[in-house]
Amino acid sequence: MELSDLEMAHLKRLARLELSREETAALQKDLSDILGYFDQLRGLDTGGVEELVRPITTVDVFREDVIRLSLPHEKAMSLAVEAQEGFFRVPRTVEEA
Amino acid sequence: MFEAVIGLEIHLALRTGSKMFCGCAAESLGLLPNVNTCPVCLGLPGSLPVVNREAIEKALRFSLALNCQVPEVTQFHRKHYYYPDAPKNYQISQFDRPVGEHGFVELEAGRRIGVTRCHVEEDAGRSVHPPYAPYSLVDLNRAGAPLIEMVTEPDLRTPEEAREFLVKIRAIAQALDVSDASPEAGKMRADVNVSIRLPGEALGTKVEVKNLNSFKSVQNALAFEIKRQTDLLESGRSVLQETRGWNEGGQRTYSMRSKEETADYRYFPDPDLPPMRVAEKWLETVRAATPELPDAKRERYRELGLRAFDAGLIAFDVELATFFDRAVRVYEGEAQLLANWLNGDVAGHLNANDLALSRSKLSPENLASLLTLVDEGAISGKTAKDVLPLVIDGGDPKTIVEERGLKQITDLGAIEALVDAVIAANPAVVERVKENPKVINVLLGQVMKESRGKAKPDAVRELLNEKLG
Repeated sequence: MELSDLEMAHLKRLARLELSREETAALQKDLSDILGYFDQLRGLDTGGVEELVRPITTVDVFREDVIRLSLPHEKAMSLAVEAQEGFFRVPRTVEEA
Repeated sequence: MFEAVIGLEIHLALRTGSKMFCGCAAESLGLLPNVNTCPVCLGLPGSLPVVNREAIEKALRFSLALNCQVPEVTQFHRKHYYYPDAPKNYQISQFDRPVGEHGFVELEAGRRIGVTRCHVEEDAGRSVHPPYAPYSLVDLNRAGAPLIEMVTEPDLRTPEEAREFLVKIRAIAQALDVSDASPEAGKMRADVNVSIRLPGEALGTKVEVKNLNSFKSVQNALAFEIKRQTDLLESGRSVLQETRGWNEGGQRTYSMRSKEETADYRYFPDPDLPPMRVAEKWLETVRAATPELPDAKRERYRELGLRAFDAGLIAFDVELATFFDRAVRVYEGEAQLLANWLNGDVAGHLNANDLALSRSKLSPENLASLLTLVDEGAISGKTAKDVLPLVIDGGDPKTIVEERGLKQITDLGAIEALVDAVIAANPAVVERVKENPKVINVLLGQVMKESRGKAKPDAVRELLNEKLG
């Protein structure tokens, strides 16, 4: 199963990845190999095998509705690339009205 | 003649103590930015979200109230998109196994509106866009707060129906203690899908309208959009499938720049969040904890003798209903009288003073006691209205009436003395009554004034008629 150039471009866009031509080609090959592997699996007769959505069988993990202490403001902001007036500052997301 | 086809997408903030997947407070209204966050809701690597059981339980309660089918297993998916107010670059939401599907809500006229699904998800943060700045500011206090999203089938036909539906959803959410469901406080947000078609024909091109912050805006935006689309089709043009915003000031929808790419959310089951089994036993607990729904409440009020209008008004306002239920328990008079006061003078006074019933000091017991004083003839209806503001401020009606000497004069001898005195003091008016019997009202007014409003007007009129007639 060959991943097309167009599909590659779409994936790069979705993942917000900037890749060189060489990196793209290498990744395209790896991803195509993975898809090929799934093609191979698809060929198997799994008629008698129960569907497995998750490899772990844990279910029903809940917490009670209890409020815990939040992070101090300075700590929450310590990883911010840019901050202003207590907010995270990011490139503008809307056009001027 | 075209008909409109309308579907709604409603977000309700779930009323819980903590957020959906972490222990930060769910409510962050009025806080300084970014003081209500933790590694989980900041989306820091290595943090592990854990489901708030209460949020799921409330979502189940809501789904059941909307007649939804609840699956045996429900689970969370990741919905991927990039936006600064979603710090993980995905939103935890539900996809193929939401908490409820295939439900319905019945409108007043008996028409059923399909509820496609109800699912639980986390809210995003809040973005601020300072004017003319090259940046936006992000506050993540709200990120991770629990939400219910519900989607209807395109079964609504008019803006009025859409509004009625929203009012009903709000009433249900409030009655179930699922959400404050207040659009003003951002606890209930609605997007609408609307298209028009000739009856019986295939669906037309739909337009989505966003940013509707009140029921009134939903209704107005729909009315505007239906007119706009009708004008387009009637002039031979076509409707463009797009997302539009609502300009509250201009009362018009406007085109929002369409996204350059179609959404590709790449949903997959969140590996951090194991599936949740909804056992019949759990549902039984949920059902048992479900209080009376607004429809049932209205039915009960009708049986108490309330007029349909008042029954609906009270049943669909959880605050009012709670108050009314307590008052009706201690008031022995007609329930309709209680409703008249609540929906009339009490509501008027509260509105005029911009006061919520729950914030006022009016107790159901005191309102009942005030009405009882009228029923017993101790005070007139007029006096009751005069002292109502004091009672709303927390005063005890009996004490007020005693202290201010407002008790009605029921002693006929005392009233007669007043009547005689007024007749003696106004010979000219008495003369005129002979020409025009209506002038007797002048004397009546004088007697009422002399008695400081405490004489029974009926008794005074009777005595005046007797003496001058």
